Amino acid sequence: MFQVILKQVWRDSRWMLLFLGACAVVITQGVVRVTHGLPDNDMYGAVLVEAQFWGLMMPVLAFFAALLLAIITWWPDRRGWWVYALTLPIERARYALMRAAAGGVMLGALALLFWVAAIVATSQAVVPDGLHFYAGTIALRFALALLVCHALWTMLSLTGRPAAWAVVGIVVVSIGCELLGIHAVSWVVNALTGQWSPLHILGGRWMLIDA
Amino acid sequence: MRSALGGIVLVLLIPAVARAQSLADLEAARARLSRESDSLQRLAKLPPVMDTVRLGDGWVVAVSPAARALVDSTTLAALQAGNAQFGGVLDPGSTPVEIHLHATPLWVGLEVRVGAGVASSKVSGDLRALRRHRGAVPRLIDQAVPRAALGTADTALLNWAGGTLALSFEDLVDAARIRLQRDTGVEVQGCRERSLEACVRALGGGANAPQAPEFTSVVRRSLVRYALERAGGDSALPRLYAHRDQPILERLGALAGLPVDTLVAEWHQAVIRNDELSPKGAVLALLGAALLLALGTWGARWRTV
Repeated sequence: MFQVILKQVWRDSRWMLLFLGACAVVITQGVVRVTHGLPDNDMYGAVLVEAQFWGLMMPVLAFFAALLLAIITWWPDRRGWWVYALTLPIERARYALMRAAAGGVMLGALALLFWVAAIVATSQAVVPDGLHFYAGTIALRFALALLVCHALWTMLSLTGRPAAWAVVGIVVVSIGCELLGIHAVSWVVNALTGQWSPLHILGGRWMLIDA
Repeated sequence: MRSALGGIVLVLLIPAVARAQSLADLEAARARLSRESDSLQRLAKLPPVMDTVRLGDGWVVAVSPAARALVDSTTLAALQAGNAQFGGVLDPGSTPVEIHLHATPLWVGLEVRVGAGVASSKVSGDLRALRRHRGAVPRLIDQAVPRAALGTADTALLNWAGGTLALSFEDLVDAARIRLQRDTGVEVQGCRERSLEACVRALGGGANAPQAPEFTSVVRRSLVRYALERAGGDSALPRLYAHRDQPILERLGALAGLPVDTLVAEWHQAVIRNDELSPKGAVLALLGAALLLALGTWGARWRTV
């Protein structure tokens, strides 16, 4: 049954996957675009600035790739009001896990593509002494970011309306607290992006090239 | 029904947790102010120069205990940048001072005395009002201090640092990061390769400083700023000035309250580190993903429909 779901998700998402893969290639090529040719000491600043700029787009790509893949993965069930899913003779949780895993396989392919793109990009680049490539580390980080975002969007898709109401409630209550002088917004933001949050992996500097 | 109840409970929990966090913040601020009040008493006994560092043409009222007690890092950076946009009425002779900010009188319980070149402050106001309007306080202190009366410049530090520190910390780190990659020299190269001994030699100013620093001033200033802001803590400047006759790096170590090697290692980590994926970050990401998936898979829709 997993194979059937996987095939369906693949059929629905292949073009989107291709587009996201192209984005990954553009980003990794953007990082190294000033590094072609002979190394030059004056390139240090330019290389790092370029790496930092294009590195900003990596977590953005992970976030939106997971969102788009989640939409594609769960759209058939949502469109049919989950009737098909609920009539299947298997545990619902197992079905949900299989569909989530199918989406995860697609994102795994994207992570693999990102890794290959990073290796190809860095293999063409020449950087001054003291700078190094971190293709493996950045690809692993990208894969983990995809995983976390995929899990987040999967959770929101599965829980549906209660999750949406909870999010709306958090926003409304936070704003209300702020009006009452209780600084809830900063607390919520800190909780979502702090070092103990799984979303923390999206932060920081994503440097494919660094010292 | 159960899902709706769950959502309601979750929503009701938010203000409770936020309120608890807010109270914890207030308590932390109270404790900090209490500590700094003690620092202020000590500060009053120190020579006038303790409150300010002069670098280049600019005065930097940087990390005085008074400022630290009242401002967060952002405001502190604005203060260090010499941001004097405070447009209100300030009469240092009146006690306590009433601050006018944007034509709104704000009572913050702050008393500012301008004595022998030292701005001393006494905090007695409502904590919440103080926190809300803390942006005005450093500007008040900044304006209340007659800059000409703040003592002589620290020539040795001035020469070594080679310029003003009036940049925000992050800007300075980025600038230093780029300069560190572009500077040339044997020791600089060693420092780039993560040899701390080479970093110390490239910085110059050590106990056995046989040569001029190889690093440009931006990189050297980033070490001062790191020692001041990230490692310094309470009474950092008094510690710096208590060792005026010592080599610069020793003084910066005293400023930071750290051995020189440790200070340079931490600064090196902050300035040229690669933001690699830490094992803790990876484990947290995996655990978080598992938790979210579990929440979704066994969420309300799948149990009750």
